[in-house]
Formats: sequence, C-alpha cells, structure tokens
Amino acid sequence: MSEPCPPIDVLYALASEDEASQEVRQHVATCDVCQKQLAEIESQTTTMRQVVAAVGPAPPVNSAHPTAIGKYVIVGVIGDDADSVCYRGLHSLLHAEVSILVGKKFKAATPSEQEPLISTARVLLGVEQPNIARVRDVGFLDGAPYIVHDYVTGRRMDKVPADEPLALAAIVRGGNELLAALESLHRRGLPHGQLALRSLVGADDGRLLVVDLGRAWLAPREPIRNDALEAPLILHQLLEHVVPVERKGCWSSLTQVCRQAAATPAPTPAILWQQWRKAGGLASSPMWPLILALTIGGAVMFFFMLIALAFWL
Amino acid sequence: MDTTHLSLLERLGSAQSQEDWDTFHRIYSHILRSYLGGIARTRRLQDADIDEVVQNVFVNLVRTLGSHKHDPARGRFRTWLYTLTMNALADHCEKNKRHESNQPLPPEVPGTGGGPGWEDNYEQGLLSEVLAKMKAEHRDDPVPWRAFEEQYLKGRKAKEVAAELGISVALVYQHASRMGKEIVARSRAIDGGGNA
Repeated sequence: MSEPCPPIDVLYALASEDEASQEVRQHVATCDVCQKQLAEIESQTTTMRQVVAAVGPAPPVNSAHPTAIGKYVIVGVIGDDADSVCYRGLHSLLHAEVSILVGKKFKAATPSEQEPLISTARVLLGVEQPNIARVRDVGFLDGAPYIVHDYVTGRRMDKVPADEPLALAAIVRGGNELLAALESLHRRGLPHGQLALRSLVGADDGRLLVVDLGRAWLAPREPIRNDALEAPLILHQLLEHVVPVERKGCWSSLTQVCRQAAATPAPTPAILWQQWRKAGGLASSPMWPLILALTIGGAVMFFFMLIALAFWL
Repeated sequence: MDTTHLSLLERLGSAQSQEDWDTFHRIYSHILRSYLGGIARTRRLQDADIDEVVQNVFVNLVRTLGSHKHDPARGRFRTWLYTLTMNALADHCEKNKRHESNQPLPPEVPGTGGGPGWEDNYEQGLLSEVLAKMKAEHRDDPVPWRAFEEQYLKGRKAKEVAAELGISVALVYQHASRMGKEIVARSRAIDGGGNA
C-alpha cells in the first residue's frame, strides 16, 4: 500500500525551501496529485511575489478620504492642501456632477456653532453669475463644513505646467471674466476672500470660472485676503505663460496694470476691471457709436431739410 | 458581507451603500491607475490626467450601474471596464490636444477582453486588494500574517521566521499555506471565478 499524501503545509515547505524528508520527496516523485499540487503552489508563490514586487500594496482599506459625503458619491480627489480637500462627486440619485470642498481648519460640532455658518451659506446659494460655479449645497462632515458646487469640466489653472504656453487673447478674455465675477460679488458685499490660482478653471466652453466661492466660509476664523490684491497676482502668473513672440501690444500694458495693482491695490475690483479692460483693448465706450450715429443722422436730416426748404421757396 | 464581484455589482446597481462603493472604488481605481500609469509615457499623460480619466470612468460607472444589470453571458465585466476606460482616455486626449501623439490606443488582444497587459494588470489588482484586506484583518493577531509575509512573500528561511516570531517551523508553514490558499480563493471569489 502506498504512503498517504503529505499535508499541504509540508508541500509548501517543499516548494519554498526544499525542506522535506526523504520519504516525502520519494512520495511526491511518484504521486501525480502531489506533483500537480506542488506545481500550483510554486506558480502561486511566484505570482504573489511578483505582484508584491511590481504592483506594491493596494491602498489601505481605511483610506483617509471618504467614499461618500452626505448624498454624494465620491469618485476622486481634485485637490488636497493644508486648508481644504476638494472631491469630485455625483448626487447618488440625480447623478448631477459636483465638486465638494471640505475645510480642514475649522469644526462646528454643535447646532449652535453651525447655525451662523448656515445663515451665511444661504446668501452664497443665491449667487448666480456666468463666471462663478454655482453653490448647490452645504453641510458638515464630522463637524467640518463642506460646500458643494456645480462641477466644471476643464483645466484647473494651478495644474497648468509652468512651461505650457497660454494664448494672450484667452488671458485677456479670462481676466475680464474673472474681474467681472469679482465685481459682481463685491457689489453684493460678498468678497471671495481666499482667491488663488486653484480657484480658477478654464472651462471646456472657453469661459474662465471661479470654482470655489465660499472657501473663506469654510474657515471663518482665518484672515480674509484682499481680492483686489490677489487678482492681479494671479493674472500676472497667467501672463507669464504667454510665449515671447506674443509679448507685444497689450501684453506689456496688462503686465504693468498687474504690477501696479499688486504694489498699490485698487480699492475695489471694479477699478481694476476698468484698468484691465482699457489695457486689454476691451474698453471701447458703448456711447461713441451712438454719438457717431446721431451726428451722421442729424447731418443727413439737416441736408434733406435744406433741400426741402429750397424746393418750397 | 458577500463581496463577490457579481453580487457587488448588483448591490451597486440597486442601492449604493457606502461600504459597497468603498470596496468597488478601491479595487478598480487601483487597477485603472496602474494600467493607465503603464501607458502614460507614450501618450504624455501626467498624474493629473490619469486622475481625471479614472474619475471620468467612475462617473460613467455610477451613471450606468443604476440602470444597467450586468449579464455575464453578454461579456465579462473586465472587458466592459476596459472599453469604458479606453473611451474615457480617447475623450480626454481629444479634449486636451497636448496629448495627441501618433500612438494609437492599445488594440484589444483577442480572447483577453483588453489591450496588452490588461488581463495581467487586472488579476494583479485583485490579488493586491486581497493582500491589503487580509493584512488589515490580521492587525490584532499579526503572527499568522507575519509568518506568511516573511516566509511566503519575501522568501525568508522558515527557521529564521520561526525564531523571530517565537513559533515552530511547522507552524510557520501552516500559516503560510493557509493564508496562500485563502488569498487565491478570495481573489477568485471577487472575480466570480474569472467569468464576471
């Protein structure tokens, strides 16, 4: 009668280190079942060692990022810095795409702490401007306030590589849109307060949008930054992307406007906006065509009246 | 909780629980990121591009899973996922002209349900997930995992590992073999035996 097959751990020992008794070796040499099992173990061992060496471990099971926030399913992280983390998500039922900005520097754990933030958020929800991503919702994640915006498909301006050129015309237009958006906010008494390059996305439809309205709301105890000072710094950074061959005409004037505004900030974004439009060649007064048309029209009418008068006389 | 591939897909389609989505997102974002990372250089993709393509795939998955019932008879999930990923990559490259290159998208290798390396990458991703999960499960009782990791994965001598952990050499082999068998069984179960 033949020897019984050795237990699986003995085969593992044989596969990995060849540590096995003479009896085991003799058995395996003549047993098809054990040989097959041994080959399978050797193959699995090789594969697993290759996986560990090549792929590395999978992300930890308990990741630092949530996979859902409120009624939103999280599909990925857009940005993560010292102040906040920005997620891309979808409404779990409606499937509308959103970005969710979660603050890191402030926690409002109790309803009484949350109430003043909710009151302020109601005003943010009312802002509707074509160059500002609409605020859709706010909430608290373990006490940390979060704010939900429409997701804007396009390029985050802080992710544009330093050596990548941007067209001057696009910057002129984008700067005009940014300053119009800021002017609109200031008119409502709602400064952005934390404006930076990460706030801007060049949307697929060509617009430049402010995508993080309410960032200052996430950290109410942090100092508010001056939009009229931050905007020219951002625009100056964008102008640096213009290739040398395009650095003529209005490029110099716009750069000059940014430098002056960074040294002596305009009291409101509206003044900076006027300067930008003038330097960028966008400031043709809408009154001139009207005045010209009225002058020509008046001259023509006067001419016909003279002719009529001549015939009548 | 049953985490086999098909049951997970079914649950995600009907009502997404946070735990289901967490498992699904972790497994497949790792697989997609790893595969796209492999083809990034030829298409001049940066990390931010890979992130965006992976996110676009998940957006499509969330939107589709609600109305789509996966039928293994019509094709494997991994093939469908490959198609979604390549479509998202093509859209991204088309939108961002800086990625245009003469390199065509990886052609599908007949019988594998994906481009070159997709199948291996997929299998490795599943295995890698099971390894991470089992390691986490043995956080409170680390000896069996350590025995498996040191002897089986790192290929160290069983005698050394036994001395280090204060157990017998036979027990090191028992832990290693039990873990090895369980890992293979679990990764097959996630993938529905490779048919899903």
